[in-house]
Amino acid sequence: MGSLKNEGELEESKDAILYVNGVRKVLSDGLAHLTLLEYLRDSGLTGTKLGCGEGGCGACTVMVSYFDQNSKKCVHQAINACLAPLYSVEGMHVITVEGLGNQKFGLHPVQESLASRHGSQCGFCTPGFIMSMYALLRSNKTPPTEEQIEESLAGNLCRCTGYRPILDAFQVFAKSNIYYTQMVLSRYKNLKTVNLFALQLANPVLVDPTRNC
Amino acid sequence: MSGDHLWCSKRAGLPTVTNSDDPPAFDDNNDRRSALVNSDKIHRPEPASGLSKLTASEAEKSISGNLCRCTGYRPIADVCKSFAADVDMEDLGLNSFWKKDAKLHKLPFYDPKQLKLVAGNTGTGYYKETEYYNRYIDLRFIPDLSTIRKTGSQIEIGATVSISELILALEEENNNDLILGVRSKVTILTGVKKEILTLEEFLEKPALDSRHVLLSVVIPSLKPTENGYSEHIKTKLLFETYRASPRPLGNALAYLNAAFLAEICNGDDGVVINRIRLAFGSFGVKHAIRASKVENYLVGKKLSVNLIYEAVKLLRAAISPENGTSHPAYRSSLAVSFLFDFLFPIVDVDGRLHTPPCDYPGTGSRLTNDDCERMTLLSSAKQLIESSHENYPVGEPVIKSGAAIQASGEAIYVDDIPSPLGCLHGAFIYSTKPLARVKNIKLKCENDVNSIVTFQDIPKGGDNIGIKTGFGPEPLFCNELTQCTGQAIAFVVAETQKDADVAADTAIVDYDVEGLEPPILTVEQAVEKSSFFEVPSFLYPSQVGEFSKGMAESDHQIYSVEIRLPSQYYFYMETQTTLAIPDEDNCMVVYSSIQAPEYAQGVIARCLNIPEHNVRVITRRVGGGFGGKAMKAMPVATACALAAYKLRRPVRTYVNRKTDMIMTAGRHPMKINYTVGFKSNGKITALHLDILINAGMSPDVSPIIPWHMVGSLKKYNFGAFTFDFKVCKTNHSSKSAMRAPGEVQASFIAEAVIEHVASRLSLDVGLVREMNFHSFDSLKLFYGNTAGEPSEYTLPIIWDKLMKSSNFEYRVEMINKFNKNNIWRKKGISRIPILQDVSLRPTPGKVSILNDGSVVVEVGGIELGQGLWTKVKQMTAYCLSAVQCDGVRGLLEKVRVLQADTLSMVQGGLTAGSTTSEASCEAVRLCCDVLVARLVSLKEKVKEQTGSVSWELLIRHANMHSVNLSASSFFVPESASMRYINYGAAVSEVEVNLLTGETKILQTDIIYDCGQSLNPAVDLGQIEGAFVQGIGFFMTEEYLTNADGLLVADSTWTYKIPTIDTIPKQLNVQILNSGHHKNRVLSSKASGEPPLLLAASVHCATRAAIKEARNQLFSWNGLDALDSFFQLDVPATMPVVKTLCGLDNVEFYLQSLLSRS
Repeated sequence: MGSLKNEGELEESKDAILYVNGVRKVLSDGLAHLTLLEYLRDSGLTGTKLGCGEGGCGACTVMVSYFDQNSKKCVHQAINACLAPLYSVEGMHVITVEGLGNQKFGLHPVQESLASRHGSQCGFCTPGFIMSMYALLRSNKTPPTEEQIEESLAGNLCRCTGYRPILDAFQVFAKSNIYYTQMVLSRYKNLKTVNLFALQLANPVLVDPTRNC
Repeated sequence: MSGDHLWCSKRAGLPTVTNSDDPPAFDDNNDRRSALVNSDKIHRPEPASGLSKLTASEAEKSISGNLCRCTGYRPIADVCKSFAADVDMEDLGLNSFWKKDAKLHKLPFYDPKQLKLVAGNTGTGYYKETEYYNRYIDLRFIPDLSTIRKTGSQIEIGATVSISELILALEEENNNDLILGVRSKVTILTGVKKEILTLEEFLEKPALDSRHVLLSVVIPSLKPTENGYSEHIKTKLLFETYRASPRPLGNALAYLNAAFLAEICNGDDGVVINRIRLAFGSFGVKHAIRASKVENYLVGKKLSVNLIYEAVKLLRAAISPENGTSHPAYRSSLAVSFLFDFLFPIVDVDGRLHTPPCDYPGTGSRLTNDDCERMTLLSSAKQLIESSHENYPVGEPVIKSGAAIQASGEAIYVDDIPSPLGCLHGAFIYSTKPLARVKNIKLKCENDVNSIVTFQDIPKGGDNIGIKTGFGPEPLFCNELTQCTGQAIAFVVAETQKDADVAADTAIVDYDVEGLEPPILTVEQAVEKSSFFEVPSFLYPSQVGEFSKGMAESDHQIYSVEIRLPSQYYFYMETQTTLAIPDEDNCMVVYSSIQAPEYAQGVIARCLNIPEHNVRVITRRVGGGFGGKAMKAMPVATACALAAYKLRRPVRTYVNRKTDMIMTAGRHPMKINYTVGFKSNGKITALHLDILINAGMSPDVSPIIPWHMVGSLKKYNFGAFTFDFKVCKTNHSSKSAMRAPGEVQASFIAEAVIEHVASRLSLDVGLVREMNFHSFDSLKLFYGNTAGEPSEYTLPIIWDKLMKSSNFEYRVEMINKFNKNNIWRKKGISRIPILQDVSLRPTPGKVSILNDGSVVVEVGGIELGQGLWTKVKQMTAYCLSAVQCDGVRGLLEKVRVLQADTLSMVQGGLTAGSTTSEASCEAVRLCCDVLVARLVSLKEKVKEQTGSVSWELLIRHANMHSVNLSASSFFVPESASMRYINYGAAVSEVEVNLLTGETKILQTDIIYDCGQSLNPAVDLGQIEGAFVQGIGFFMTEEYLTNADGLLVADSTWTYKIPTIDTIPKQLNVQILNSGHHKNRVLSSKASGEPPLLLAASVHCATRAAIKEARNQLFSWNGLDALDSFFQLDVPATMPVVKTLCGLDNVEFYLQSLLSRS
């Protein structure tokens, strides 16, 4: 993890690499039976939850980022980690709810908005909703429409809230909410710096695949 | 996902599914066709010659509407099965990875037994894997398979292109060319030979074997001048896609999909169909089909009402789902509806081209589209709360305790606790037979299993006990005889959860039913055999008045009408889970997600035959309970404890969703018979109910259900009210309390009776409701002391307020107008009241102040997400602030509530029944009063010395003076005032689509009396959340079992709880602050369960809309007689609604048009 090689050497490396929240991980052989969710939770990243194991509830939503060779573009996608074989995200950057923010370094605006607008009750679906919303924001160059927000959450189940407060919490990121969006985006930039900086202090990273995207 | 999964579906004869994740590759083709055919819409401005008008965003909508988007990886057509090549797998380093420069021809020989080809692997979501592969080949990076190639005349989509990639590609494509999916071709690689088939040929072929690879799908672009389509000005292309599924956007399998393409010619004597293609999928056949007979019939003919009538008749016969498909008649009727919707708008009754007044955006139905205005997808909402600040910080909308760490993923649930050294994992083997001897259990993968725990492992002196309630125990495991499907037979223990799950899933249980009586599976059989659980006399509710006298007073009578209500599964997001760790000296530490840790402690001690003080059950938070983790969490905790005890190692389990659904069961199903007498003005004079409750194999808490039911049934003044309850013992999994247990059914029954009476008298149902409202005197008669003070009966105020705030009268008028003007959409509106009495239980509390002035609190109640900790914190801060020193307004930040621990706080009891938050608050208040009394005199003393006293200084002094800074209490409610009634009302407006049976909830307005809310934000969350859970019960959640009683709707694929797109488009909630209630905890009232009952308003509104549809059907001669009353089943799913609206309403409508001309 975090070995100091230069970029050229990295590409030559036969190791299977995965980035999780900015931290470089080397995947050993023989883990083909693992799903990404199992790998994450076994690594102590238990914010990503198992709710159904069949892609039907969204509690395990994480974001993956990679450079798509065909389109020559960086792609950010929300995926259900319970269905993704671990090796299928090899070479990609996985962002989990822990990678967005935390109590110590401050919550990400998406997290903070959901918490402060009473969008969590039992809290078990919460990380999944946050990651669906986060991936939508990352994959859109402009703020999403309200319809896009609702659609991006259609794969997430919540049994406690009845969804209204979750929608309300996320509507502040919609296009129609220009003032707030600007405020959020300015804060978002600062927070992102802090978080990445903190992560890098703990785990030196040479390549952040998302940085140039 | 891999090809073999896909083809398995074909071999196994499973219905193909379209919007599901992977399985529907066939229908993918179908859907892709629909999505890709960027064709002309008939009602939009003419495009430039040869150009299509479908925009990219519509394409996206069309795709998203047709397909699930489980992961962005979802490959479009990952039907790959084999790679015939002579490269050694090891050469490619395929042990784990696929080299990025891989070429198609380098792929190894594909042996499906050894490795699995994946693109997104999302197929495992539907087709569960019971074997695990050690080698996967990822196909996404093979250029041949992963690219989209566009040439002038066609677009070629590689087999592993994901839906989202395709959407992007289409967005770039924009609307240049017409892409015609219906003429698409499929490229298959066999060895080195490429074969190109048309889609139809491909679909007709048998399953591809391991020598074939599906490479790509080629869809020709269509310019009207190329491909033989005439550029003649009078020729038009029409294209439309349709889908009917339980969720508009969310993950759901479709009942039926359709895509239609037609070329029509508007001649002098009418519209003629030159060509037409009609494709249908996902309706219970192996693959999508073309309705060729219907196509042939239509081609070359002049469009007329009669032609459409004949065509839909042919079509109904052509769409026949295979045996075993659910709702076959409904699916056929959908095909008819969609074709009608496609063709009918083109002609008017005279056969001329019909030009509607506006442009129809989006895909899908035209006849039922919104009034030329796009209904926004988004819910909007208004919430009104009245805070009171007199008890600060109680009454403030304080953010829920723990919300931040939940949002950051730092909150720790039981399964998030790191495994201790040597920890094992368990999984249940459950019975699939209702009543049978278990002869033998055989494990397929014995090597992966550490141990198998059964009743024989219970230590000497211990009981085979999994649940205990006041009504009797339930065994942990079946003995030789299983009593129901879903009963635990054994607990398999392995090194990983996956190994344990696979071992349990693949275990083969030998059953023997020889010489056994047949199982009791219905309440009728239970009655026949007198198989009942006894209801203790003190719990049997008392009746009101004399039934015969009430009937004698009545002008009209309705005799013995039956209602059946189904079960509902809890569907907490966190399934049942426990971690049990053996400790020194024969002790056991058990981390459990449970609403009743004290009960689990008792059961574990009984099972292991150890004293209760050896069992420490710890519960920090529960990822959703809803009653499902009250009793039903005990056997899970006990099984882990027993396994840990036997193996002397930590054992944990996280029960998988399917097993949880099957074993935990849910709400009580029941059969109700009512007889009612009433006056001509709608006043009911007598009601008698016979209710058979299906309790399942063990009593659980079922004997208390009648008590709960009667509490909510009495919401109206029925005059004389009598009933007979039987709690039936059957060979079903034991049913337990689920949020508003019995109450939601009871409230619904009362409304069904009212609806029936109104219908019989042809009176407005709202008037009949009001006619039967309680006066305070009758409330007192029905409820006794529970009714409280006259000023506390706020229902009449709520009722009137809601009338105004929801603009009820105006909307009724608008709805009447709407229903007159719309044939295929009908609206309904309903306003219903609810009453639910609740009861407080004794609850302990403990408050301690530490040296630095911070405070720790322990309470009996468990934090389930209902905000109990938040309210307790507010109460602690409020009560301690009575000491009146400086800085007490910041006390809230200093309070921490501790996780429940059965050895730290005894008599914790059960968190249920909506009142645990207030009871815990009251227990804390008692503690704080003691502490404040101890501190006040000291404060005065210090103040004299120093002038002012801060909280911290006071506590330092208290420590110096050895003041006891810890106090505990046991709140015991006074029996005279422990029960009280909660009130609320809701108005819901729905719109029913008569072609599909879909019900849209347009708006709901709720007013709910919280007394003086302890935390209005938390209570608002309870009200809205309960209401939506109720929508699930009444509208979407179909609890389907097989003939043995085994739950078959056992996954997110088949059991549909509400999603973001099923909730009301507008949801307005007002929390009524009804002021002072002297016997309540700081004048507050409960909010956890009663609002769930309000969801019956959605059901009643749906009934009103269907009534309009049936009146119309009657006018078309589609009903023999206009029986004004009909039962609308619960849940009112699309097939149920459509059936009542008329499965053949389209034909009757056309007939009526024909007979008119």
